[in-house]
Amino acid sequence: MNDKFKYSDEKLILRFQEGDINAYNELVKRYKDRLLNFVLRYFNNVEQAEDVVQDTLIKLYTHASYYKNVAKFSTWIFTIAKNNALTELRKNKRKKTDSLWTDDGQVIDINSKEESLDSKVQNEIAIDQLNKFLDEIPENFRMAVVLRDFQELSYEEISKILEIPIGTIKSRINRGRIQLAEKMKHFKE
Amino acid sequence: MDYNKFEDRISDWIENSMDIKERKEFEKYLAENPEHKKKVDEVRNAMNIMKTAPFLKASDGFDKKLQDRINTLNEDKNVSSGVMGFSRQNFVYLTLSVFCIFIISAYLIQPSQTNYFIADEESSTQESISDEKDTEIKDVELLNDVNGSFVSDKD
Repeated sequence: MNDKFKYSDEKLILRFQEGDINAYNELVKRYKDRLLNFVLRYFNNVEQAEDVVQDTLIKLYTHASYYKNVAKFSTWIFTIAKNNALTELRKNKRKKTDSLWTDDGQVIDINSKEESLDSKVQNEIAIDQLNKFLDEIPENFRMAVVLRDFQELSYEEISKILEIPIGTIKSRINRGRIQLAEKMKHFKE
Repeated sequence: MDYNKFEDRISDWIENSMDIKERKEFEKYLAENPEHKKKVDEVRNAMNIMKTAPFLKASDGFDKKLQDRINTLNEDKNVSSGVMGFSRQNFVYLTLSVFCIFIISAYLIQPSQTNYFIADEESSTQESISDEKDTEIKDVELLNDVNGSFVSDKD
């Protein structure tokens, strides 16, 4: 499959549905980083985000037949990633409330591992700052902004992925950008 | 246009998704309030930073881990698929069920088969009776012929 790069995502998933494993590998190659950068906005923990992306790509492998060629592939895969991320977040919330203290009463430092992983991966201070600013804005604004400005998806796609009307999405993206711009302005100063 | 409306439209203006009337209205507001132009520039700058920000790459072991998981999945599938697409356990259950159905069916069919044989016997008896009748008729005809010949002899 030397000319695989010519294929659209939709063509690749159709080929994979017909049993072409190379088509699956190409989809993984195209989407693993994009999905990681999307899912990371839910967790801010690279390791956990990678696990969610793995689950998403496994679902792509096992449930490829569920994809119908009426929607864009990106909309479908981002929706799966979002749902996996939300499921994982719900699990995390339960775990956190269960394990804030050790058996001998010591408080567990939940963030220490996350911070070390973050700092290891994010080398550039500007990018690190951008991520921090993104984390500071409300999640519903953040996810819409990330899908629009990082992933460069259309408003229609974002509306389908987040299951929110386009008007609301537009408003959230605009508000998110303004809040982000405000924080960046202070950082520069 | 007031400030709130202006703020709501910043993204639309930057992304050029306004109709001409709205665009003119927005630009008129900017011309009248040059201090707010800075706000538009800040939003545009934030958008550019996000668009040009490098993607975080998945770790080196990501692909191998994924491949391992897929291999495990396929192995599990092979084990569970067993015989003719069924797990071995299910295949045994299925075979036993089919065997039981066969035995029960054979048991249920048996009485009707007996009736069939009885019917056969009845019909064969009737056939033998009709054969006997045929023989009697032939004997009578033969006697008639013999009598006829006697009559002709007398004549």
